[in-house]
Amino acid sequence: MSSEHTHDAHHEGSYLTPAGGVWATIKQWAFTVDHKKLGVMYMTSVLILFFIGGMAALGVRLELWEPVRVQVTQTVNDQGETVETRTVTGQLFNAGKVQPVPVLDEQGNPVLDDEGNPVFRNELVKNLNTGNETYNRLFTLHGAIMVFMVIIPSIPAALGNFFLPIMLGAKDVAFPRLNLLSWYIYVFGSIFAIASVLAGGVDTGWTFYTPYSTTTDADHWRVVFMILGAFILGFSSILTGLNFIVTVHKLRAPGMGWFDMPLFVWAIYATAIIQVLATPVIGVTLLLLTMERILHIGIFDPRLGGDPVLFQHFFWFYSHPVVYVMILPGFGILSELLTVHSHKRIFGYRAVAYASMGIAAVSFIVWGHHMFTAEGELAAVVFSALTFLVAIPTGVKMFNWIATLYKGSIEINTPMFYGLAVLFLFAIGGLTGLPLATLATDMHLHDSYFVVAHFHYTMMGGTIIAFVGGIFHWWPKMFGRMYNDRLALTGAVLVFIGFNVTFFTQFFLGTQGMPRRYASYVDEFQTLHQISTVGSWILLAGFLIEAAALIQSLINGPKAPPNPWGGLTLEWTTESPPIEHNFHHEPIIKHGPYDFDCVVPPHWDPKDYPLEEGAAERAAAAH
Amino acid sequence: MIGALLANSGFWTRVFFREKGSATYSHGADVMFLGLWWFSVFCFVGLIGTMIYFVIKYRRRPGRPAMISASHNNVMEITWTVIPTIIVVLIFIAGFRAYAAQIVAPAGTLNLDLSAKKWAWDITYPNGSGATESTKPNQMGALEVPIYVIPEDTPVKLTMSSEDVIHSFWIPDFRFKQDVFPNRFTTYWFQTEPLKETDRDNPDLPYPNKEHWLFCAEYCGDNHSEMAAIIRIVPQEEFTRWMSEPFDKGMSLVEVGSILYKTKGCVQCHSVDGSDNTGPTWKNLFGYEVAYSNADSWTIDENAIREAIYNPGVKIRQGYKNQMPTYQGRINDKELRALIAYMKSLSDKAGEFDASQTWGGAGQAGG
Repeated sequence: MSSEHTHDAHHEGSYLTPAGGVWATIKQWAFTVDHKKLGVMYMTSVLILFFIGGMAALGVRLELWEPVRVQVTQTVNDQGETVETRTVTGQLFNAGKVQPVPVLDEQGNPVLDDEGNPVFRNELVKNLNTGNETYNRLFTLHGAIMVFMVIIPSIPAALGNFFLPIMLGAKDVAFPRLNLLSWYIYVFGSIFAIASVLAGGVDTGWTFYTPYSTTTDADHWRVVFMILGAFILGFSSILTGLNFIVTVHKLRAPGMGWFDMPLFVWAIYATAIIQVLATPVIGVTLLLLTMERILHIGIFDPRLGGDPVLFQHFFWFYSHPVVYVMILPGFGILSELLTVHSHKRIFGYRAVAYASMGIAAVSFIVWGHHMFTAEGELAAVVFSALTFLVAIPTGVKMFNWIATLYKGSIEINTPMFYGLAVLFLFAIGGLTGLPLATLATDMHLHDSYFVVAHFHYTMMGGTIIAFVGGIFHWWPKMFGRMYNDRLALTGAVLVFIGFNVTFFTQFFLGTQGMPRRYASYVDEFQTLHQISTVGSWILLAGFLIEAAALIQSLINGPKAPPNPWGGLTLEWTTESPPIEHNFHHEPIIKHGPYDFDCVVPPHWDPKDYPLEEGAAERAAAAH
Repeated sequence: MIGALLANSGFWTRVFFREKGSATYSHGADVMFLGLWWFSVFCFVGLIGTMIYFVIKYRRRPGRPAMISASHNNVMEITWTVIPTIIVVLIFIAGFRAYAAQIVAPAGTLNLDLSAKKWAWDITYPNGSGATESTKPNQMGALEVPIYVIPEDTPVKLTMSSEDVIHSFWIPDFRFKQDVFPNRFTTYWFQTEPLKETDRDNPDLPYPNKEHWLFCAEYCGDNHSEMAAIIRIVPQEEFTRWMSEPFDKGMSLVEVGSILYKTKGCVQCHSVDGSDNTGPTWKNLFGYEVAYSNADSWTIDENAIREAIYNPGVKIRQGYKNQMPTYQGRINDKELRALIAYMKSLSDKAGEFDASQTWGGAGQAGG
């Protein structure tokens, strides 16, 4: 911590203690270098953006309730002429578009000005195309917000910032001021992206495929703004990753070796390495894309001799590893949830840690599986083979987590329910990856709803559900208050049901031939689409209940004890909420993070936590 | 009973695909998919079943601690690393073999050219003809789509390219798709199963036929979801007859123009009833003065239309974007005349013109 915050260690308040006065408190937060405040600030902004992205998703699902149809009706007017009128049905959202429309006189002839040119006036035109365009903007908004502003920063920047230093026994991250800078870069990047949305939004999809992205809305700056937003957000990612790598290397508490670190820290560490190595590639790619749009340099645009597939290679060289930036922290949280709430040592600690690093390494050589229908046959075969490698460490983790539950003392509370839900959902997400990695079946499933369902099972079922589980797990520590577990559990069950209703149906839509990013569809898909849409409402209800449970906890939740679940990692040794400097004294590591079989958790009474016979000997043998 | 249901691959084919794949190579992909489905069900039940069993059996009970068990077990961990490795290698090999069947076309295919653009597919047959029929299917609703006639049980190879952005050619019933690029050719081959006497997707036709949807699977803008066509499989004799016969059969130029309007993709952007769309309407276009955003206003005549079709970027109509691809080489002179005649028929300022003038057939199929 910086020197201006010198306190008497014994009279320190919690990090949440206001500075006195509204203005001072705002200043205290806006210029803080405290990793905990920054974690809370990230969490708040991520949750707000999650709400916006979620609303866009609900809009997408609502639009798909009914297919879009143009009905032509013929009527005969007074002059005996047949007049055709077109009516568009099934379009719920149609923002329309302002276009110059010729002014007509009473006879229906164009009005001419003095020079004989037709007169135009700007009018809001709504037709099939503008409705489709509204839909395309909606799903782009959903994708871009969820990927760049929610999932990527969710666990590392929010929970990682808050807990990584505490779990290592450190006072803060290695570079606290850099951490504050990362937060401002994140806000700045988000403002760019949101400015683009407020200016009307973009319809490129979050993947910005060329040459569509270099030509659409050519006379507007919105697309450039969105791309620059993603570019800027990348810097926030890189700096956060760098900060975490140095923190893990240099700030571990005395006695904490690499294999005494909690698995959450391992996962964040593996994630940080990917972030630092892969994000510059997307930075360069997005910069090239901006230059292509503004200066027409001819690298991606085929009309200028560029190659649009080159963009896909550049894009996925980053965006595939980033899939693991999204999921690895979720795995890290899962390891914590399953061990703490079953009071059980993780099975195969080293295997789980190595699997994280293995996944991080393999993630760099499988990008081509996003392009099976775009690249050459040989490349497709090679990337298919490499992609199967990911299945192995992922499978190992799965087996280890389930083996961890064996002979545990498993409590079903909200965080644990989320943990088990991640296992359930990720099993489906992982297994449905098999037909996508297999060339013969992917040729059918590629870019269909099967893919949509698959990545929602992994990205949302894996990362977002784990993130929410992590929030409920660490909420008492972060804010010092308990929540109503029964209420939160009800919400969690609804989220779980809603999720499956929404996305499981989409596997069948995909195999039956529904392409993704369609504003409309042929009749036979309607039933499945409607089931999926109903699922999205259940999902919404679940999340609203969760929000209510957390808000209620902030208002009048009972005070949280330092260690409500009986965890053994360092964050449970400090107060809830932690003091400004995390610990009164620098902690010294005397046991491993998962030694539930030989150590009574801090702040717990041995009466409430009887150890099996031989525990003392085990402890002695272990250290 | 349940066992019989599970073993009934026809049932599961219907659940996942509605019906059996129609190309010769689809069967390999379907068998592969159903095999992976049962393997996944087995793994999922095994994993999550064990999880639920543990959660119930070892639920927290007051006063009972977590029991001590091994923190790791090398034999077990090596086993569950090695076995999945072997399994995924086998899956890869099986997938590769079925993929090879999908991509390697036999010799002696019927070669067709395909051109994709926002938002239409355009197939050209060896005799220079395009689609001669279109339909407004109820289940699509939004627009007219062309019908492409393909002979049954014949290897067909499409050489594909795009005029604007990336599209993807997907016939779900064949279980295969291939992206279509603006800067290179890609190919797509298939051979359908022979038609059965009971195949009557279109009951109005006197011969057995099967119809398949063709979708665009790569996002390409506003009307991405309307970029469809119908692939109609017909008996070989019928295809031979269709290829050797001029499609107009003595139709007037106006009638031919109205067919080209639908099959060449004009319908995707231009209305003929005065309503607005991506491009300006053709209703009351010919003979009217229009304004351009980059040129002086002009009264639409034959040459203005010619320029707009062959060099669409030269003059941009006020209120519209420069979005139309060129049709140079894809609409010949005769077809252009037919389109102009059709536009004239839609305008009340077309002046003198003979609406019954015939096409004459030359330049089209068999000509």
